[in-house]
Amino acid sequence: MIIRQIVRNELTRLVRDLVILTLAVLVLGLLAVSVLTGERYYQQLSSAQSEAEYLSRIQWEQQGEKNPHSAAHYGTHAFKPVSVLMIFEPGVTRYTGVSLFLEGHRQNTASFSLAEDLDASLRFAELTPAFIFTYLFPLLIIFAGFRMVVAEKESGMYRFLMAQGISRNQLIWGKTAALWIMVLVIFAPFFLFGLLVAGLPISAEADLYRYLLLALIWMCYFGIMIHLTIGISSFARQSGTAMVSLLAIWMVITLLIPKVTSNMAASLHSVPTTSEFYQSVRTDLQQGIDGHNPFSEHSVAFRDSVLNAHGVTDVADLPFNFSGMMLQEAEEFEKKIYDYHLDRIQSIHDRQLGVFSLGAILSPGLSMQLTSMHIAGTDIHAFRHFTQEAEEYRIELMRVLNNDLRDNAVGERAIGYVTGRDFFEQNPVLRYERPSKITPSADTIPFILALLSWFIISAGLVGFAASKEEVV
Amino acid sequence: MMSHLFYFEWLQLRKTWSFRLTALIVPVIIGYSLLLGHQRVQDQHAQIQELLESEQTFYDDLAERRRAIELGESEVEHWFQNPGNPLVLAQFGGSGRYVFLSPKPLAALAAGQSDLFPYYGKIALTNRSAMRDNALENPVMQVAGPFDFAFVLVWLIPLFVITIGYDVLSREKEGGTLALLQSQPVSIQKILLMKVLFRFLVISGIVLLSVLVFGFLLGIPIGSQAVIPVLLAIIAYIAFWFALCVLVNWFSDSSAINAITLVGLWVLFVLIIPSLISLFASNQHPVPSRAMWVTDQRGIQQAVNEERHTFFESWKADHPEEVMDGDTPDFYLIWMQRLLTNEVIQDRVDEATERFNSPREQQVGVISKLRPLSPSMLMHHWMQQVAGTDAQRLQSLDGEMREFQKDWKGYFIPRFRQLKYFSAEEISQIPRLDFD
Repeated sequence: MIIRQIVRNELTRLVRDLVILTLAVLVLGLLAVSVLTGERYYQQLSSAQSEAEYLSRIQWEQQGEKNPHSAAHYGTHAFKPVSVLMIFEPGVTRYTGVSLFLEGHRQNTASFSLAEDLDASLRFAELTPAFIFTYLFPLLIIFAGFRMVVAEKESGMYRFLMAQGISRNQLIWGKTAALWIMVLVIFAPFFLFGLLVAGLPISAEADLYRYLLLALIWMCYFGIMIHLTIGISSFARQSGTAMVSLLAIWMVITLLIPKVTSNMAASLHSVPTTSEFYQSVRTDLQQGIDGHNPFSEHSVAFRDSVLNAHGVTDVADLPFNFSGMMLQEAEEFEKKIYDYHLDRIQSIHDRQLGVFSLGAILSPGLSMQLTSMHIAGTDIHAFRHFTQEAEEYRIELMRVLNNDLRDNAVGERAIGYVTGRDFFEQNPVLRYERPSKITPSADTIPFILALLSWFIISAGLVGFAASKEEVV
Repeated sequence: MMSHLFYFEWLQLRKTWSFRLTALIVPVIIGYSLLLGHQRVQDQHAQIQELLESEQTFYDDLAERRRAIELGESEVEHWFQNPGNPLVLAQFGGSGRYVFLSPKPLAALAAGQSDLFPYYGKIALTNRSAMRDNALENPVMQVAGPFDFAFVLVWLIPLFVITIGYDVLSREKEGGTLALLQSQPVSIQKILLMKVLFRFLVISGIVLLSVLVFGFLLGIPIGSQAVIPVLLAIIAYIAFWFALCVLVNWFSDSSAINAITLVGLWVLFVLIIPSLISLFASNQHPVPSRAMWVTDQRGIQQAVNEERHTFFESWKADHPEEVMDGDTPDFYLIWMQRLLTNEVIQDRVDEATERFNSPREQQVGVISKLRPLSPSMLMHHWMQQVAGTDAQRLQSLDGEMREFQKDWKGYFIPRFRQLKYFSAEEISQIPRLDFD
């Protein structure tokens, strides 16, 4: 009963506090703007993506009469689809390339990131819900709550309340509850607004779940900030000190640790430069079958083994086109080399993410960001999923092209063999679908655990503050 | 009088833990940010050096082989192995030249957009490609962005200033010492001014000293003239935040409210105004999708390639003297045609790119007009310009490459058209770009 009165009293104070009210309205306004512009941006990106995909297919089908291997060199593009949840948490979306060139003999990396075309003078200040929740919302919580307990002591009300038989436990938990209610009241309209603007009730079920989980993750982060605020406010002797300490905490967990961690990760596990990378790929490729050079040692050995198997002495006597077969053999070899080298890069990225889990332990802001990116399907794993699918498609397309050359460029048609539109129209199509399930990858689990531990420990801090007897 | 006020202020300040923490943390983060920046610049210099050497070796080797052929010591089997052939020298197998945007002397101060845009590229006759050394970088790093001195100065230092200055007058009021001060023969305005001046001098001193000491230790050219405006700008930026502290303190009596107001102003200038400006600019002049640009480019290539014979024939009719008659090697006509087609494709792609670039330039225009709304944005932009890591400079790489490619083509293509092979002596005189 008493606790309810404490909560009500605290809420009344918050509502009457013009500063807090203004800030809350401002934050809500910014959230609304960010959701609306984010949705527009998402629509632009996804319609451009599907249009480009369509045009690129037409270009492929209508590339004219060509030898299948010329078509392999001509290549085609895959375009990265965007997750609707990028409206809320864009994650790495802006920093990964939008188009991936798929051609014979090599695996390319995606090029043209959105960030290159944004004149972001202050890059990380981009108005998205994730940004507002990471940086601004905690400030609102701090502003609303830093005085809650300490001001009672400063004004002498604390002694009064104790004398009236209110326990410290009731007082502190009551104020915590009031702060929670404030957060929920501000968050709820955003939640519904975002849900409707993004059209989540009618979109894929997985996206709705992702949104709900995102909300939970944000709540968890807000909870941590609420608990820290009340905890510090209970221990501080002056409201100024409480304020400055909370600001210091905010600065360290949202600004300092994420940046320092990322720079640490980069210098501890550095990625080779692109030219070094291609140099080592080239070196390895020279050891193998070169589809374009029939005189290389490996090519000769492969040819002889094929000739032996068919009991003939000249490739012209084979029942199929030998160069088609050799190109496919080479393609598979080249893929192995690229896979090996790209896996190496991936494992460096994984080790970097390992450093991030260290940073995530120190900063709930960082662990929240990394977790929510993953849930929103805008993290590096989502990007890898796309590039892997595109690569599988590429190798499949190359196989179809090489097999066509192998099977059809025989006999009289062997010299100057070309294929045309009918064939290209039948080639496989890349239909990329984002994963419908959310499977937390091994390196995301530490982030989630870090966030939960922070939640529990910070709640423990409030509990400790509440149980501590204090004479003022 | 002044020294008295300063002395008492010092006694007071040095006992507050917020000051102690500031004095400890600020030098550490400044040192760390400069160290990271310095490493980045050193890596770039090393890379440039390495590439220049490899380029030199490449052409020395070609000249050597050419000399051997001239002396009759060796022979070539295929035309594309003859180092005297202009195509071999200008187009094939690793030939071409690198074009760099060398780091400016103060590049260590701001990483800017250098994690997004390449600082060097390579040109040959038909291609011009910027080297994305960071294409393999983990995008999570780019989200967090580089930790550089510009970040420390623009984002963090104001927060430290606020910590030190938010209660400069209100604390006296709250502590009840204001009445004591008012009873002194000095005006309260003067006391406030002196208190703030002292705190300002202390923070500026810590920041400047850290920059100079770490800059000196790392070998960043802090002795050069270019540093003076940077130091002045740092002082001005710190002064701006102290001025806000004074203003807020003058109008409000509560330290807590002051702190909220000042942090609110920080959020406004550092986070909200910049994000609204870029939102506004990108809504005013939306840049078309890159995905569409990619397909546009493909379309152009396809269209030109389909008509390559027509292009070549009409060009030949207009420039009969440019094409050699009679018995020419197989590759001659093929490459004559290819070079011409490439020229046409480049021109049309340039037109398409222009459609793409002009909204971006308009965006830049809108942003630079609105930038003065936030001193933080102004400061950050200016630091990037001083460091030479702003998007505009890095994007100028393509222009530089294009210019040099023109010279390169002008040098080789006429000789190729007449099939005038290079002697070993001439190979060592192939033009290079002067950059400083």
